Amino acid sequence: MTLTLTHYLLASTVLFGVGIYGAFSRRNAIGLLLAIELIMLAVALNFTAASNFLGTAGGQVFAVFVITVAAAEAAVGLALIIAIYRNQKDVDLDKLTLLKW
Amino acid sequence: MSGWLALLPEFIMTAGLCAVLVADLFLPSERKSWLSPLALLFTALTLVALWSLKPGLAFGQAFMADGMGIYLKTIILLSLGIVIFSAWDFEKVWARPQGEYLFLMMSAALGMMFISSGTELVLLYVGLELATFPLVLLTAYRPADAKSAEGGLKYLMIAALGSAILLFGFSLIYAVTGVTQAVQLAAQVAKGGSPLVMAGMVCVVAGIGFKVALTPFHMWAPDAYEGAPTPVTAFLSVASKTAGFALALRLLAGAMPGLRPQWAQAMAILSALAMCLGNFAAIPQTNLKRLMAYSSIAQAGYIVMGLVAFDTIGLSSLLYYLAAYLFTNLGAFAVIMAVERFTGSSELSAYTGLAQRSPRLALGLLLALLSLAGIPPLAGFAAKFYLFAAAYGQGYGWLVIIGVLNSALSLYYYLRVIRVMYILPPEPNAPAIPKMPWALAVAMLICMAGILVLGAYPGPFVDMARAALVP
Repeated sequence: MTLTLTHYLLASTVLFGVGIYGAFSRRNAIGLLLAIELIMLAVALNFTAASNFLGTAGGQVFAVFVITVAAAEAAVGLALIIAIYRNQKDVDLDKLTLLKW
Repeated sequence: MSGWLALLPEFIMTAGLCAVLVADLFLPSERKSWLSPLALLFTALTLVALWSLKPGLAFGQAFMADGMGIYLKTIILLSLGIVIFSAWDFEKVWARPQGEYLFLMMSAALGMMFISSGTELVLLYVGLELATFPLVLLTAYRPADAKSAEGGLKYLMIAALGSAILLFGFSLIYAVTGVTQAVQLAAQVAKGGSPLVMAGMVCVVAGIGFKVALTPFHMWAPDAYEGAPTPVTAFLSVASKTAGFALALRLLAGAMPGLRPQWAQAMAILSALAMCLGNFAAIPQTNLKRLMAYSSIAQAGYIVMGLVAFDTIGLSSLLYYLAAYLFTNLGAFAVIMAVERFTGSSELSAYTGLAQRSPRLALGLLLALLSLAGIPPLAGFAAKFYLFAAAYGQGYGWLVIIGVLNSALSLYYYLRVIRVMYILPPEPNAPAIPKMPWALAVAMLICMAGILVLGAYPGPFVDMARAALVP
C-alpha cells in the first residue's frame, strides 16, 4: 500500500479532533495550551504533506511560519500562566472565576 | 522598487515602534511624558504616508495597498491616535510603564495594517498573530490585578484556538488548490467546491467568528474587555474589530467570492445569534466595560450584515459603519476612562448623578450611547440604516427584522445607563470629578465631532467608502 495525500489528511484530521476535544475538556491551563499545539501540529502536517504531493513549496514555507508562531504563542501563554500562578497558586481554569457574567 | 513604496506606511510604523522602545530605554524617568507625543508623531506620519500613497503591490502579490486597505488602515490608525490621546498619561493612571504600553499598541496596529492589505494566507496569518499577541499582553498588563491576568489568559487561549481552527481551514484549502494567494485562490475556488474546500471554508468562517467575537465564538470578549486596562479595551473594541472585519473581507470577499452563497448563509446565522445574545446578555450587566463588551458583540452582528449582503451597497455600508463605530465607541470609552480616573471604578454605580457632577462627561456618554443604539441624527443611525437597507435589498428580510428588534432591545440597556446618569441624584459622598485633562478632552471632542458630522452628513463619507471598494 502506498501512502496518498488522503492518508495524511485523515491523520491530521484525527490530530485536529484530539486537539479540539482536549481544548474543550482540559481544565488545566497548560493542558489547554498543549491541546492547541496539537491542532497546530495537525496544520503543519497538512501543509507539508500537501506541499509534497502537489509539488509546490508554498505549504512548507507556511508550515515553518506556523511552527514559529506556535512557539511565540506558547511563550506568551506560559508567561501569563506563571503570572497567574504567582497570584492565585493555581492554574485550574475552573477556579478562574473572577470574571463571570 | 515601486513595490517597496506601497509598504511605506508599515515601514514608518515599524520605525516608530522601535523609536518608542529605544527612547523608553534612554529617557530618564521624569521625561517619560515625551513618549506619547513621539508615538503620536509617528502615527500621524504613517497616516500622511498612507494618504499620499499610490495603490500598489508588494512582496510579489502578497501585499496589496488598494483603496480598501487604505480605508481600513486609516480607521486603525485613527483609533490608535485617539487612544494615545485619551490615555496620554497612562503611567500615572494605570501605574504601569508607558513605553512598553505604547510599543505594544503600535505593534498590534502594525499587525492590523498587514491584515488590512494582506492578499496571501501566510501574510494574513502572521499579521493576525502580530495583532493578537501584543493585545493579549496588554490585556494582562496589570498582572497584580487578578482580573487583568485572568482576562489575558482567557483571551490568549480562545484567540489561539480560533487561529488554530482558521489555520486548519487554510491547510485544507491549500491541500486541494495548492495556492495561498487570494486572487489565484478565488480562481481555483470558483471552479467548484470540493467537500474539502467546503470544510476549510467552515473552519475559516469559525476562525473569523472568533476574531470579531460573533456568538458562539464570543466567550473571550467580555472577560478580556473587563480585565484589560480601559485604553486597551477601547483599542480592542475598535481596532481589533476593524482588523477582524479586514480579515473577513480579504478571506471571504477577496479569496472565496465563488462560495458566497454558502458563507453568506453561515454568516447570516452567526449575525442573528450575535445580535440576540449580545443584546440580551448586556441587559443585566452592572459594569460598564462588560456592558460595552456585550454591546460590541451585538454591533459585530450588525456589521456582518454588510458582508452577508456582499454587493457594493453592503460592503460600502460595512466600511462606513466601521468609521461610525470608531468615533462612537471611542467616545464612550473616553468617558469611561475619565470616570475611572477620578472614581477608580467602571461600575455603573460610579455614574449615579453624573449629569450633575460633570455635565460634559454625561453629555458625551449620552451622545455615544444614543449613537450606538442608532438614534437619528447621530452616526450610528445612518450607518445602521444603510446596513439594514443593503441586507434587505439582497433578500435577507428576516435578518433585518431581527436587527430592528434588537436595536429596540439595545435601547433598553443604553437608556438604563442614561437614567443612572441623568435621573438619579448623585450620592452625597460621591468622589468629585474635576476638570478633564486636556488630552482626554481632545480625544472626546474628536469623537463627538465624528459622531455628529458622520450622522448629519453621511453622504461624502459613504462616497468615500464606496470609492475605497474600487480596486
